[in-house]
Amino acid sequence: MKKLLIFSGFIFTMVIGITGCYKDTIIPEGAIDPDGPPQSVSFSKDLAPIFNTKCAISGCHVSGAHKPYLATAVSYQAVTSGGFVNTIVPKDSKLYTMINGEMKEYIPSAADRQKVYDWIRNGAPNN
Amino acid sequence: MKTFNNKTLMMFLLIVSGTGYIASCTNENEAIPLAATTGPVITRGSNNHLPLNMTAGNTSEWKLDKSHSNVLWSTSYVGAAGLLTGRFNQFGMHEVTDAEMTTYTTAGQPLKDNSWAFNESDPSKTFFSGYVQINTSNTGEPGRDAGCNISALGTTAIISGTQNLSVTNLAKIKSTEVKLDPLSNDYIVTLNLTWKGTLGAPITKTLVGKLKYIKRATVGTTAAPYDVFGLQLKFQFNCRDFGITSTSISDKIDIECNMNFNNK
Repeated sequence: MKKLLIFSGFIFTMVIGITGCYKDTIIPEGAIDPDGPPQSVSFSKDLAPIFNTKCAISGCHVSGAHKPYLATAVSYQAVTSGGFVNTIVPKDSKLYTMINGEMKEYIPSAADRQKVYDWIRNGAPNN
Repeated sequence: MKTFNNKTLMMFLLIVSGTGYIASCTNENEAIPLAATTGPVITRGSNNHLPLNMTAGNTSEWKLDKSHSNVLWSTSYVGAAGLLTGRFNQFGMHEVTDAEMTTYTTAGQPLKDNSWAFNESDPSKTFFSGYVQINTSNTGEPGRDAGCNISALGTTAIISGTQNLSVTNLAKIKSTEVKLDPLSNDYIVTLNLTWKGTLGAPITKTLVGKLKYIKRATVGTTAAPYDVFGLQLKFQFNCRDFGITSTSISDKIDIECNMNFNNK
């Protein structure tokens, strides 16, 4: 009986320990202002992989198809040199309007689109 | 070897369980507070500036202070390295008509700087036109400015004592819409840039830029004070649209116009 009680107490302690040590972080709607201060975004680490996997696919934004060409090796040059980015009025950038309009389905993540917006607001650096 | 007896172990487990239970029950989830504001604080006054007849001494008529104004350009060197910058030595704020597009024999600007208006709170009343003489681009390197720049930009060299406002040497802008910027105290401007570049004839591209108003302030001596204000326009364009093929510069050219006015 004593062994059973000790075993039960031990299990109880473990359950409390496992379930009692977490907390939820609740982000209420409206807490993140997309026009707030831009976050640091790396083109090579954050954006190039998105463009490469979601846009530089056969028949889309690859050499010989639609500009800008978005394969990793050429995407920075293509995006910044072809008039697709307006760093003075970022929301006027063709890149911004396309991924939030016609091309939204290919970049469905709002967080990914925000990264593009922040990168433009940061001056579209080659970083 | 028995470190604890059963009673001690039971007590220990009970205390640990109880503490864990209480801690977990009183551990509230972390709720991130809402943003303090939904955007920047924007305040706009009611200043209304007009050139009218630009009469000297009339304090309600504003004059472009050209000697304290400038038109700057910058672009990435070879499209990838640091900035190459320059300015245009000759410019103005006049809507140059086709009839006025010619060469003038004069040292100063032949046209009045009167094609503009600015209203701080009502952007529908704000408009402007302006021009630069392309061959007066000044990068600080005379060999380039009077050399390869001339042919690369599709124009002709400066002739002393003249102002070349002909079609080959003139780039013009004209605002078509000015709106309040919802994210700042600035204004979003849609404008037309007309330039021949190296093309056979001028073309017009519609661009979007930003206009900043530097508020009216009183300056000068106590005995002779006067007021000033500034307008700063920034926009970008793709020089390849105008036939510029130089590989020394990037496609994207940044333009910054700093116009200062006074009511002397």
